[in-house]
Amino acid sequence: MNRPRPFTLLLLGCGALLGGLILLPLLALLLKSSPSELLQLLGNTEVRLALWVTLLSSLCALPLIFLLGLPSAYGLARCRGKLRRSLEIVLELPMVMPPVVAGLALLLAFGRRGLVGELLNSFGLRLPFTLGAVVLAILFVVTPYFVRRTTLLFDGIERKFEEAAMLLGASPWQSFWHVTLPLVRRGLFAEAIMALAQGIGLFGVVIIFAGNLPGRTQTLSLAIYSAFESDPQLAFGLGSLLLLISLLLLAAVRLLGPGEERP
Amino acid sequence: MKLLRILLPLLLLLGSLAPAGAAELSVFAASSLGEALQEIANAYQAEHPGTRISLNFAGSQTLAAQLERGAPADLLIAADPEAMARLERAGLVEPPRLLLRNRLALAVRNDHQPPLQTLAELGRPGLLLVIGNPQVPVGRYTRRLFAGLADDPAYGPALVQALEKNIVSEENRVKAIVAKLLLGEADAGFVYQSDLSAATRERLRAIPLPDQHNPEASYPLARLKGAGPAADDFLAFLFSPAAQAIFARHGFLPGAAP
Repeated sequence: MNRPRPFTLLLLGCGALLGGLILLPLLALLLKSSPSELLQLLGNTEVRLALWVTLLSSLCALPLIFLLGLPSAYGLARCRGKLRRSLEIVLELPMVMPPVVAGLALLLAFGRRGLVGELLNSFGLRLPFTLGAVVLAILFVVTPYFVRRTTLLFDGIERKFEEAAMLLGASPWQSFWHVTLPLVRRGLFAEAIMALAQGIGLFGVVIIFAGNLPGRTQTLSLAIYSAFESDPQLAFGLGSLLLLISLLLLAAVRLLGPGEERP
Repeated sequence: MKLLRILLPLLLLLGSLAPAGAAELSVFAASSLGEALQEIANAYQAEHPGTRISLNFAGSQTLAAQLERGAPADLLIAADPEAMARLERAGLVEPPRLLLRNRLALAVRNDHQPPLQTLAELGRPGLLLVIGNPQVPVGRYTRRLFAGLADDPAYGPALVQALEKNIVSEENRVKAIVAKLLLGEADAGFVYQSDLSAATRERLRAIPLPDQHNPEASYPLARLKGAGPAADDFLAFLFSPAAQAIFARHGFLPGAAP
């Protein structure tokens, strides 16, 4: 029998504390409402509207995230040195921005009196207080994370496969589409779910940029905040609901993610 | 080690910023009281250098929920008798006193084209109206106003429907309505009279609302059970002519009708 060394004990202790810190609040939230209460919530019109707005906005944002993010990530994966580092800093900017600040910045850029707001207005486009604003907010916050992680996926591919395809006469487009993409397919699927999960939970940036109107821009997180003002029990129930959705998505990422492929 | 050498003086510096031995008084207040209460707290602290007042502003219901969950406070000023009654029933506060009253105001942008003059013009299609969420007092009062307008033949349900159609957002805090108006993202909003201060006059003005339908908001003030002795002194100060003058300058009405 060898005695556990103090160092090991320290690691174990810190790990256990961190585990408690993460799991305790989650447990407290889930314990606050019974499963039947959660089912009842789904019968509530406002809850259904909020759920609808949440899912719709995240699903609308997803193709746009791919459209912008996938080529950017592929391009970034091929950059090296200083250029790559500076591009990565640009990507990190929205990540370190407090959500409220991001909301203000979006308003000042795309709002009615924002930098490009007048231009959008002349096309009859008004973003704030619309679902489009929720989608743009998700796009702004989530795409950088998506690009960061997807770049790592592309980094993990050995270049020789692409080079072989090119040698055999494939165009860059063909080699990307038929060689590279299939290699990262599972990873991309996991990233798509991750992006959905991230978009579903946004709060600060949405409430500032898109406002809060049930059925139009009120997502679940916003509904939770509104409910907390009058009916805390409802807020706890909605919180559990949102947490369960996130847990489901997380489980899907784990099941489908590339992690399982590696020994 | 190097990190420690930098951090330690920084921590000491931060620690020294808090005046030693000051009595700390924690006041929870409805967010509509923002600037006025800050000014009063500053005036009080100038007279009583030994007391430090920390103000926590939020929607009345949020404050009530925070206090129910054990947030430490000495005084509570709510914009909502209901939230206060809830805390009183829970035995958390002593019997409240009416500190202030307030009324709704319809704030519109000065630069709106064509200029908005009357309440009826707010029903114009495409106008962006921001109101309070029904869960917060300002939103509840706004709906009470709408109900009154709908029943009044001079306005009628058609106007109220048109108004409701123009609502683009229901904010959780009255200051968020003001902010959206100041930014120019919305054209009009229902706020409190006290929100239209000297600072907003440049961009916003009030459109008169019919008095008989304009609900009166009341601001009850209560001492939390177990509040320190410093609370009583500040409580008395809030009712003093000096403090009431500041409240009046910010558009509040005195608690007891004159």
